[in-house]
Amino acid sequence: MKSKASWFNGRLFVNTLSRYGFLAVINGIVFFFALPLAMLVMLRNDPTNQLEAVVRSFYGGDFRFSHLFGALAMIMGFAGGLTLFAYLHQPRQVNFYHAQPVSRSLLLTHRLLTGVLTLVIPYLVNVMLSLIVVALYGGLSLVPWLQLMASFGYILLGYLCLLAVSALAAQLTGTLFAQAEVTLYILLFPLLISLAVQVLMTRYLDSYAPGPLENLLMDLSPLTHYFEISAYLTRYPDSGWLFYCVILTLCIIAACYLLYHQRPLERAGQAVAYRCVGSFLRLSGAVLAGIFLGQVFALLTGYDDYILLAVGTVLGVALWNMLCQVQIFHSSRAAFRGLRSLSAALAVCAAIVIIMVTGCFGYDNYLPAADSLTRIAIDVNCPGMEQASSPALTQPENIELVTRLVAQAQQGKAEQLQRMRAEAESADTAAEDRRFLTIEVTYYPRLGLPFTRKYRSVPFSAVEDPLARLLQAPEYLSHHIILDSSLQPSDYSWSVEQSSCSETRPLSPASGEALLAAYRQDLSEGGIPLDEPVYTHIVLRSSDMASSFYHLPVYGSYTRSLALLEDAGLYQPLTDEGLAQYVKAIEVTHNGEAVGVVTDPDQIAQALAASVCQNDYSLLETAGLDDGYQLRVISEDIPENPLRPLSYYEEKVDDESASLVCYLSPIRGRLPDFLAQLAASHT
Amino acid sequence: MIRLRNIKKNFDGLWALRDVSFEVADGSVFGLIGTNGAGKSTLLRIMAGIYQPDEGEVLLDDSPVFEQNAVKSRLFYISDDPFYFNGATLDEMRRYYCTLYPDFSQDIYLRITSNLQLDPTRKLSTYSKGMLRQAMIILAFASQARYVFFDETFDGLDPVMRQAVKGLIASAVAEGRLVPIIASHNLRELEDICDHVGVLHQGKVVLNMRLEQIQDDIHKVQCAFQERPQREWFDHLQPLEFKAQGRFCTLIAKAPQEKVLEAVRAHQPLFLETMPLTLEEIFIAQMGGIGYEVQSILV
Repeated sequence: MKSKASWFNGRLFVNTLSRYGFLAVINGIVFFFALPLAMLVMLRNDPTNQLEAVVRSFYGGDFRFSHLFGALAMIMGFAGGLTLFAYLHQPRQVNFYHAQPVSRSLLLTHRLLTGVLTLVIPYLVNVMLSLIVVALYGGLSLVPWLQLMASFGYILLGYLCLLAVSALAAQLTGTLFAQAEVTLYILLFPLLISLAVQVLMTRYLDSYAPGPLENLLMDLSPLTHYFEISAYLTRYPDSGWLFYCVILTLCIIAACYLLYHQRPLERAGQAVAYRCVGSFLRLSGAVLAGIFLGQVFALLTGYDDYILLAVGTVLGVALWNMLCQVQIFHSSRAAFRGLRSLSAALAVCAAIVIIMVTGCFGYDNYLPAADSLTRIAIDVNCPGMEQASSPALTQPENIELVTRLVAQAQQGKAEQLQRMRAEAESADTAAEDRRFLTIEVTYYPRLGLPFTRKYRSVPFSAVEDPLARLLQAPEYLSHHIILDSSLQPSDYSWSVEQSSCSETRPLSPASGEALLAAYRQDLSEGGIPLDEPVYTHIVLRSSDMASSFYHLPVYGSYTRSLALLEDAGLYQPLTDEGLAQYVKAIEVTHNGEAVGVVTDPDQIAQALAASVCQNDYSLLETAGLDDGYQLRVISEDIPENPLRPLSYYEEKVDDESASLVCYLSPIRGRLPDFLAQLAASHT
Repeated sequence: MIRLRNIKKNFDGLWALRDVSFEVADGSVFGLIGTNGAGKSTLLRIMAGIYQPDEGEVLLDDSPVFEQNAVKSRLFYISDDPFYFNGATLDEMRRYYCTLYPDFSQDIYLRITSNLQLDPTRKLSTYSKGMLRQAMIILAFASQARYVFFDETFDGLDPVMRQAVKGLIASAVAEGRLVPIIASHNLRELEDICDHVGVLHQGKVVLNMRLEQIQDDIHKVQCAFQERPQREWFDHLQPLEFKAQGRFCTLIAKAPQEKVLEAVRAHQPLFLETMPLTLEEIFIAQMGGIGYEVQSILV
């Protein structure tokens, strides 16, 4: 007797495929409406103007449509998995199929292949129909064939992913309802764990920043990869995410084969096929439910309430436990049993909360020794460093500098907290430092995995000195976008923005090239000075699809850059004589309160000469400013007003003719006496 | 030959089978009898390779059954609740089974279908319970599988069909083509066809013997006495059953015939007659002997 191949039997497969042909019909109808019919409807209205847009959007170039088709495919995969593997939940069918001389591997292979073909065939048929529609309108030459194939691959991958997860859920469960639930649980569980970690860590730890653990948990869910791929496929291909998604899907399919071989078929009709699965679902779900509901309850009153936290946690655990009990035992009376699992889940939740509330074993205070690190990365929201994410430093002196900076940050925060608790008020409010910095540091220990801390609300004054040294360190500056030797002026469009009130003014390519050289030299020589004001900004926008955007400050010490910009007429120094004649008034605000209006021309001139244009400053750019003051400059709306390019148009100020308005900030150490007196007299 | 060694099966803490061991030799017709919930269907499913035993093994011609396609192509399992595809006819099921059993015989299929007067083009959903069983029997014989497991297949068959099926089984066994294992409550039917019987009770095999041997070992006598007979007269025989009505009694005992007759004659019976035992009486007596009280379990 000829033995059959254990994984595939052609005749048997055709029989299986014919019996599930209705799935192909249903999928075909859905795709018919979503593809050729939808295209036809959109093209009938305005074929000439719509043709290119419709072709591009339907065949993969449009983010929304890719997501639509991807979502459709995933729903089909979910439904297909329920349909194709429903036989595992029926004792009659289980007996029928598994008494036959075919291996379980063969049964599984046939089902998976049937599932794939019931998507591929109707999808391709409808793509052909849609191409016919496009051809009828003469748009075949517009079809992005590569994108079309990529979209097909993306849709097939999403479908296969959901089909595999649904098949895996079928191996673990014994009823259709349980299979559907476990499918969703498998997809969402890694995300929920990651979310729970982030919620708890964010709530109870001050220096928490999501790191590799949370990213890894997110990566364990097929949904994460699938939607990352959709984002990339519509812009530019990225093989990394595609590889991970394919590998994850293949691993899930391999798990299906392994589990099916061992599956106790007598569990057909029971909620779970493996008791350990039931225990895991009960405990993990109860803990998650307890954590989330506990946090929701704790914040109901707007502030931390531990009693409500406990109530919410118990309620979440109990509800989940009851749900599992009813499903497993098919009886509502069983809802109030299972006290052992309930107790275990409560104990886990209590332990987690206690650990978090007590500081998670000194999480916030932990600071590794500098010599235990191979490198350290720091992000202080420095303009020009965005592309580096967190510039990494390897030189020992810089590692030591950063660890010292962090130590001072921790000490500064602690001292501030003490002051707040003691409710001490400084008599000199003007001197009180209201500037706070966020510092994100990633430590790379010699032994162990890298970890990240985010130190929020760090008093600027506590870290000013080490920060200033860091911003002068050549290794740190080497990560600046301008000092990137591969940067070409033509990679970006160059413009200048002196004031946030005005439009940016473009530079010519030649000017951009010259400015690049000047800025490089200024930055290399002067570093990023913390004690100088920012006079203007250079704006870089990348030419490619990446849409990179940089807003680079030009400090007072960047004389070459400023001179070049002034020569090009793109920078207006506020020290120029004669500016004051165009200014009608300056409204002065201090610490958010209006303190007076300056109309004297001499005083106006003094105020202008001692200020710079206000802009969207990062904290690093405010160190050179006199904190707390804002000058609202109202000038005449006439063509020869030099402040015109820095201002915006405002109608009808105090019933006078329309004016131009711009905002300035005084430079630290140069505040005119009359302004200080104005503020003092108002107080 | 089918060998079962130390088969154990547990369902959520409940032992369905406890250390079941027996053999089914070629050329025999094995009847598997059991009380409700004894584990008959579970045992057949383990033998058919559907379930895995927790312990023990099932060997078919010295080869394990589980996930062995070549071995399973030699057996056919007829479930007590047969399944068929939605809207399928007998012919469509035949085409399906053709892909599974390489020796599937069209001739046998057509012949038996004709003999049993079934319409193979009619949808199986329109068949009665008995007709459905007949359909599965047709497919089993047509598959030419050497080992066929009948799980309460005779239930639902009318007397004529039962005889017809027994005839098919008997002729196939006589030709050496078939080794059937028949699980049933209908002991009268098994008696006609089985030559080897296994009795399953609470997951254990309590009896496993050739039918002739059982009948040789267990004896039934009816007798009458001058006074009302007492059970204590026969305690030394450890009777499986003792029924007294007035001065008349019926005694079933597992002991040599001479010993039973001697025990009865010791009390000067007025009337004494040995009676042949039916399989049903053996079963009930055996179950009664181990504590399963049954008034009437079979129709």
